[in-house]
Amino acid sequence: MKSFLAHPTVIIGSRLFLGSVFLVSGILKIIQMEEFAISIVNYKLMSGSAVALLAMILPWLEVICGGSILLGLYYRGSTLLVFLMMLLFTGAVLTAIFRGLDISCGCFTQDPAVGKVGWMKILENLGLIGVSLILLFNASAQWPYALATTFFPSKSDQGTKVDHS
Amino acid sequence: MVRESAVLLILSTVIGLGFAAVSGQWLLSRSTAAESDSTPTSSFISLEDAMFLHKKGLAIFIDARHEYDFQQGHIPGAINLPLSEFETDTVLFKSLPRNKTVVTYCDGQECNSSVALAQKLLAAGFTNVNIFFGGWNEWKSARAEIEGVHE
Repeated sequence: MKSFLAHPTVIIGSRLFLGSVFLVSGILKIIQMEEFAISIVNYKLMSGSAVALLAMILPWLEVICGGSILLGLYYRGSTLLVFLMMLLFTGAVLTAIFRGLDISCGCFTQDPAVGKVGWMKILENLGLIGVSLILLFNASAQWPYALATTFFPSKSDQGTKVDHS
Repeated sequence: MVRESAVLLILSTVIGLGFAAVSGQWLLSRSTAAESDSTPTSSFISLEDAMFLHKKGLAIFIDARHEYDFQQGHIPGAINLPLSEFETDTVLFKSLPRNKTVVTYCDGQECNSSVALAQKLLAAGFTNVNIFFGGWNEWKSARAEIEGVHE
């Protein structure tokens, strides 16, 4: 199981999937920043300046982390941030479900007509948390086809190497 | 790992705030800007205000819930424009006077379709849009006059 999770194909597949999801999700939020701010307000967990700051910064954090995971640059930090973001998003959706809020997720599209957030979203998030855990599990290793190890080898990259066999 | 995370966080903050400032999407000042802006905005009204407007016939009430819920009971005289089926090219929508006071509502405080519908109405040219946030649940609890199956 341990060697399966550390297999280069699994790492590359997880990177492509998780990186693309975060990159696309972040870009869509940047395009609809004001609508995204309204989606945050609808969760009724924060207000005012906190919402504005989150709406302006979070989409870029998603884009940078997604791109970083895809390219394999600063991937240790971005993997940790993506994992923490997924926990945060799942917690927010859970509180919305338990409070009976009839709101849309605001995850990709910001159109409220897309439907009420529910347990399906929790399942999706658990899947993404699983993928981020795979990358977190391999965070200390050298990733295959990673810019960090190809072009900017650092002392920490001399450590564990992923078995390419 | 933590150092890299901190670098990425700082980078995102700088780019995010910089982009918002440059692209004119600086949300922090949006609330104060809206106050001085002449663009029409929607406002939230209480049950008392909604009942007053209804009694005096001063507003068009628009129900943002699904058709089934509307048929089960609604505020008398209200028209049904479900948010999920919102279209601006229907005969009904075109017949609504844009300068008349409008009140949107949905189930109550746990839904946001009344707010979303109000935004769409403002975008469509309505100038006086109000949101009755207490919605159908508050109206029913107040034992106000209702129309529909529960009548």
